[in-house]
Amino acid sequence: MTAKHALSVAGAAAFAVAIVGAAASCADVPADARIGLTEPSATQFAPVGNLLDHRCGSLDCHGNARRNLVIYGCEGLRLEPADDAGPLLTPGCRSSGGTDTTGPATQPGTELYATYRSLVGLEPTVMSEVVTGGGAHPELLTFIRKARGWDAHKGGQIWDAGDTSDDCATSWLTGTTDTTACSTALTTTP
Amino acid sequence: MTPTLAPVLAWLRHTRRPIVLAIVVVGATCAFACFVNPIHDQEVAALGPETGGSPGPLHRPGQPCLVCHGGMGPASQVFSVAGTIYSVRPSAEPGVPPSGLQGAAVELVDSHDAGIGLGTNAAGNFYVSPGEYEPYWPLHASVSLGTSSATMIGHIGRNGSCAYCHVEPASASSPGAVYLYYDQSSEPDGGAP
Repeated sequence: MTAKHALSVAGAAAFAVAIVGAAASCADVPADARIGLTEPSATQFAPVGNLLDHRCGSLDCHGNARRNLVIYGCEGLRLEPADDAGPLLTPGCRSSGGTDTTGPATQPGTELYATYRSLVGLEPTVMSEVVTGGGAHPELLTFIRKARGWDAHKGGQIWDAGDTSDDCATSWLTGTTDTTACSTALTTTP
Repeated sequence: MTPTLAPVLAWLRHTRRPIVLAIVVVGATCAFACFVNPIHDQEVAALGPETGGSPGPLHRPGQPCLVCHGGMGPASQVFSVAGTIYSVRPSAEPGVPPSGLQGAAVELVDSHDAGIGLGTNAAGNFYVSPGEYEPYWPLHASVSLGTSSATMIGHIGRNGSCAYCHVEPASASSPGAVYLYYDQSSEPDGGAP
């Protein structure tokens, strides 16, 4: 056997092993397999969603469908109704003749639900870790670090660790949203 | 090795030209990265050519001013906040050229409570340079003229161009152009020009 022939045989064998290995690695994974996600409470999300709309959801920030984190609400981006199922809303809250919200975070098709899904889906495995840990380490989540100014953030630091806005967001991750902190933050911050 | 590559490799191997070549390539790449921004160039191009004369305080009402006046050119004058105020919503009167609102007072207040008052010119345009006003975002804005006034319900997060968000027609992602219904009959002069 020549050296050239030997190389060809070795290459073919390696290719065959790779194909068999790849097939074997896929064979045990069901076609409908999904990453498991331990979600934070959707029923507790409304005060947090409203605060995020107020503080982060302006049209030139996260009220923009091209962001990784997209925030919907009356102060910024409105959720377009699916299949023309409802009226097209434009930015504006009730105080200016608009509509404050389209429904609860537990109801698909609402703005709070869309914001909730966007936020939870940002880092699903990390979110699961944080929620499973009882919200003890919210700083594992990028959105918390960015808001605190711990990570680079185009919008700068939004709140301080431990202030009312931070308490609002982090308490939600523990399973019991601090609604007092949320409402205080909503009414006292720019 | 193919015959055509052999002389080239020999040339590279026996000279110091690869070093010079590498420096030139790295330098050109850096220069390209520093001075060429295709995204910004596309944004500028999307505004279209100048119409109705030369650039000046009255030009391009309703466009996002800071695309050109934001420090990346092509305009040399830099603004921190700028925009256009209309007397009625431009899309409310199809076929009628939008009417800029002259003499309106625009009040801006930033998150440190630093404010500034600006006036609109004949095109409805207003602008302020970073030297005059460098806001700490977010920024709150209101517009008034006579007894009419309007205040933004939300805030401006970080973009000083009104028209970055205020785009006609109104949609889920835009409240439409900035306008102020101005009732001239409420003015002491009875709306005289």
